[in-house]
Amino acid sequence: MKKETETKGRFSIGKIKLFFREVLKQGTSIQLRLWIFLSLVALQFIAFILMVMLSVGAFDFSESRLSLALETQMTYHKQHMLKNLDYLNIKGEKLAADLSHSIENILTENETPFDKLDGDAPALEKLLSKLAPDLFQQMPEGNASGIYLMLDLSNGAGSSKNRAGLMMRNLEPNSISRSTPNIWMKYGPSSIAKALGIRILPQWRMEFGAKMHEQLQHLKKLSDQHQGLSMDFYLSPAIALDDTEDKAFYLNFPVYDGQNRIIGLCGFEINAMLFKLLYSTPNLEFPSSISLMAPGESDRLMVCQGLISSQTTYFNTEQSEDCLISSTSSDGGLLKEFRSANGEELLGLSQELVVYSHSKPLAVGRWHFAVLFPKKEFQLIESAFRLKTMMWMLFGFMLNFLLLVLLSGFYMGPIHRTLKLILQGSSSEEIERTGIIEIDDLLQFLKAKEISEEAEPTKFSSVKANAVSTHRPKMNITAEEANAFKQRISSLSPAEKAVFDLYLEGHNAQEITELLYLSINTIKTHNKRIYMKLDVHSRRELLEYVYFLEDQEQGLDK
Amino acid sequence: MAAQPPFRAILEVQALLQFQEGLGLKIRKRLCIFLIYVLLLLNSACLFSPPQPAIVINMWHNYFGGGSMQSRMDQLIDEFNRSEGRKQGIILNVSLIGTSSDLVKNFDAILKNEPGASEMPTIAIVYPRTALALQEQGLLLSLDEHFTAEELAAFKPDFLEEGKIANTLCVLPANKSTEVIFLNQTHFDQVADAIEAEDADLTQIETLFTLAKRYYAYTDEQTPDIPSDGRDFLAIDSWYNFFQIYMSQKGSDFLGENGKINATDPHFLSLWNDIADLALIGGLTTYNGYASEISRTGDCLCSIGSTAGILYYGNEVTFPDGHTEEVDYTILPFPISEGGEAFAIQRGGGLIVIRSSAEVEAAAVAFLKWFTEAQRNYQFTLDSGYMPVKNESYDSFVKQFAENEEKEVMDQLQETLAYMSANYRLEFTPLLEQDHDLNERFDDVMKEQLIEARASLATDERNYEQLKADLLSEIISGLEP
Repeated sequence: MKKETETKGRFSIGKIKLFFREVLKQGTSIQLRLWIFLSLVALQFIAFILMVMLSVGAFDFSESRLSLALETQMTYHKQHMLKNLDYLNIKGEKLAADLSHSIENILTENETPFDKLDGDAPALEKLLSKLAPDLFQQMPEGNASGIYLMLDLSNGAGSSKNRAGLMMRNLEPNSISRSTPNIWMKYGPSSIAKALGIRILPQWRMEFGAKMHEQLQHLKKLSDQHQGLSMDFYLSPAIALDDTEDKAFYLNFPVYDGQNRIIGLCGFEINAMLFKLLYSTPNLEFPSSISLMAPGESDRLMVCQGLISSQTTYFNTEQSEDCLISSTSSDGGLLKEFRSANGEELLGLSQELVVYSHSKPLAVGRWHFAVLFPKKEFQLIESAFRLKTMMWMLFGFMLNFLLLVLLSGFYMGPIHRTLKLILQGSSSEEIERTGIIEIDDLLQFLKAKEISEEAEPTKFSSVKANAVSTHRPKMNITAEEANAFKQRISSLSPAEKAVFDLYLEGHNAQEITELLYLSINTIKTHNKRIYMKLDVHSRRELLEYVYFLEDQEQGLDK
Repeated sequence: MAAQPPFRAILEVQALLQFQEGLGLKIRKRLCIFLIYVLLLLNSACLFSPPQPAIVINMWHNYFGGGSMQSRMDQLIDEFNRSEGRKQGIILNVSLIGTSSDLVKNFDAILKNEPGASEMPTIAIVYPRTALALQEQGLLLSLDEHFTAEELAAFKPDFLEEGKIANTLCVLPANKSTEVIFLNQTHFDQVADAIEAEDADLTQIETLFTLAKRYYAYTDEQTPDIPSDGRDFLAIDSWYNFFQIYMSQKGSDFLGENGKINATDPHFLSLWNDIADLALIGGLTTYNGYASEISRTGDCLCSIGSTAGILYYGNEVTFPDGHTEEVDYTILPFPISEGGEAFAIQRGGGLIVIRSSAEVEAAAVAFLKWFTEAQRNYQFTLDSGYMPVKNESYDSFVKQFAENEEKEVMDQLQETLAYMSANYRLEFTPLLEQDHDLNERFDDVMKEQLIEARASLATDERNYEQLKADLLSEIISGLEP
């Protein structure tokens, strides 16, 4: 059944096997060989066309590969970022609710209105010290680099924009499941750090500065614009707090008092180091790829307000002139083209990151996630790839050409050799089969003619004789061999001698049948016996001896 | 009808083939040779033409320095990636930045196969003791094989010596530090007269201790109603180093041949008495963190620590009530004990390469060579409070600051370092093969015991001297591995 199925198909294995078996049995024809040869020539031509097209940049293999790599990177990182934000959103809402509740309880217990704490450093320290352990416990692992609580109060000793609070930062946020997370205090009373057994950062400050105060004011403004606000978060553009260079996103959640008034904010920090660690994919093929999350529109990404994950620096986000990347026309390519304000050209993809669910009242601003690659570097990779492909194609081209030369030699060789032998007068029986159908047919044809010549001497032998006389081969028959031949003639029977003599007289086989009243088969039998007794293998050899003896008799022999 | 044999045609073909035999075959042979030559040429072109994928090497470093040193290091890494890295197809990626103890913890987690442990970096900046722990597992690349004798000769020989483990160079010196005094000059000047302080008092260990006692007594007197509320004057980052330096200055060995502390040595006991007095009664802080942290909260006036700590001090002090004051720091050489030798220890991390594939190792070594180039090393160390490690850069460093008139804090630091390089015997701490973390435990155990004893001092019924003797024996027994 299986065999049947195999043979039924148009290109079944059975058919292919049969074809090769036939080829092996019968040899390949000149037609087939010519077909193969022409196919290779066609291939050669196609390769040449491809090479020309490649050299003029008609193909975009590199762009496809880059596009695929960036798409994979985009999908993976974008999903990861959204999951991360979802997780922090849930965690942050709970944190804000818990802190609001705790502050309300503490204030009620102490019978101290919230506003009365302003300027009272010891009271603020006491309040924060009670809130600190909970905040410390809520530090997320692997999702954020820091956690904070800022109250809309100040101890009054510093600037009017200073705000009391606590911020703890995990210096190794990517080390998940570490038994002792590396947590330091960034803002807050140092006594609380000592009590918690954590150290203070070199950039430590007692209170939050103006940048975080702005965040709180912004949150309040949004709250005023959206009456009846429920718990929500606001993702701030990347900012560097105070005099540090460490930029970060801040997920701010409002903290409320009993009257539903915003009295502070809390939330999580995602700093540049964590962003780099989370969204850096060492892409070995395109190592300089850049992941970027920034606010803005699809054609305008505010790089200075975003975070970048890159192995190499392409933007100086501190410089205002390098803050903006505008997308230019994609020119029908797979990737968009971007240009930074300082002239750096990039290729890549950008997609909107839906940070806020649409029902959220604080859903302000649009965010984008982009994966980019420097255009200059891409062009280098592309030309290297094109060169490599060109080299391989040229290699194939040359190899094909060599194959053509060799193939032409292989199939012309046997034809050449066979024809040479035929022209030298070799008998068709002496010439080996070539495996080329047409040549073998020719040999067979010649063999048939030789036999036919034996049967039709007048027609064939005359021509043959002419041919032989024209191209009379120089046989090395010695006098001794000629004498031995002469002696062997006496071993012929009378009937054989009669046939032999008639041959010498110039009659052909057909005439002999008529003269001796014998059938052609009897004549053939006599022929065989004559050949055997005279020790010759063909009529041609027989004639050579005869010519030699004639020459000898006529005294022409040298 | 018999077919006519194609003899004429055969003869024609034969003639053609004979012609080819005469000329064509030679051409064909030459053509074949030419084609084979072209193919070989193309093949070899294909072998070198395509760019190889970049080798990404991960690095851990402790150049944190409150952000500024990290920023400088980031700039250097970017510069490497853009220049030498791009040329050689190497991308250097920083995967961890922390304090040196953070790096040690992360290496420990890897060595112990802890869940969630980080991936092993290729390059790290570590102290020799961490290198020793890694080399015990056979993880470190022998750098002798990757640097020529000429390249190694460019490094200061004693710095190279420190990086050798079992005569193999495993840690390449990157920069070196020593210990100095950081004095809050602004607040010190405010009390200098009251505590009868003179500049010379800060140059000697014994007089420094006396100042600490006077300062505590003076600040305690400011609130007569509250007993024992004086403020500490002195903070020492590493008590282990301090004991070691003091005893070396006095000509004694801190550690015996068995790797244990010579706790019965008279110089050890003398220093212990002074330290214990200051810690129990007041004057020396027992805070088990960096001195820079409590300097910035006004909890001490004078601290002894690594030159690399300069970037952590800042220029203001924040008091518990939230108000801040701008202060100036003065950097002074490490104090010398009375009658002792001018001796201090040099320390500092070095670069290690973790064994990997030959390609990755070669890439890592390429960065090491680039990073320690004399001019680059010189500039980086100047920016970060370290001493350069190459002969050429070290000599110009000493010369440049010998007669410096400026008094900016970084210049002061460099001036002090240059002074100490010229006038002190600077030696590195030998590795403790038997007990790697003795230095950490020494500080932990001693401070812990003293904090407890200070808290219960008022109620302790023992004789004070007996209390100190008991404390010492408890500390020594607590240091047993």
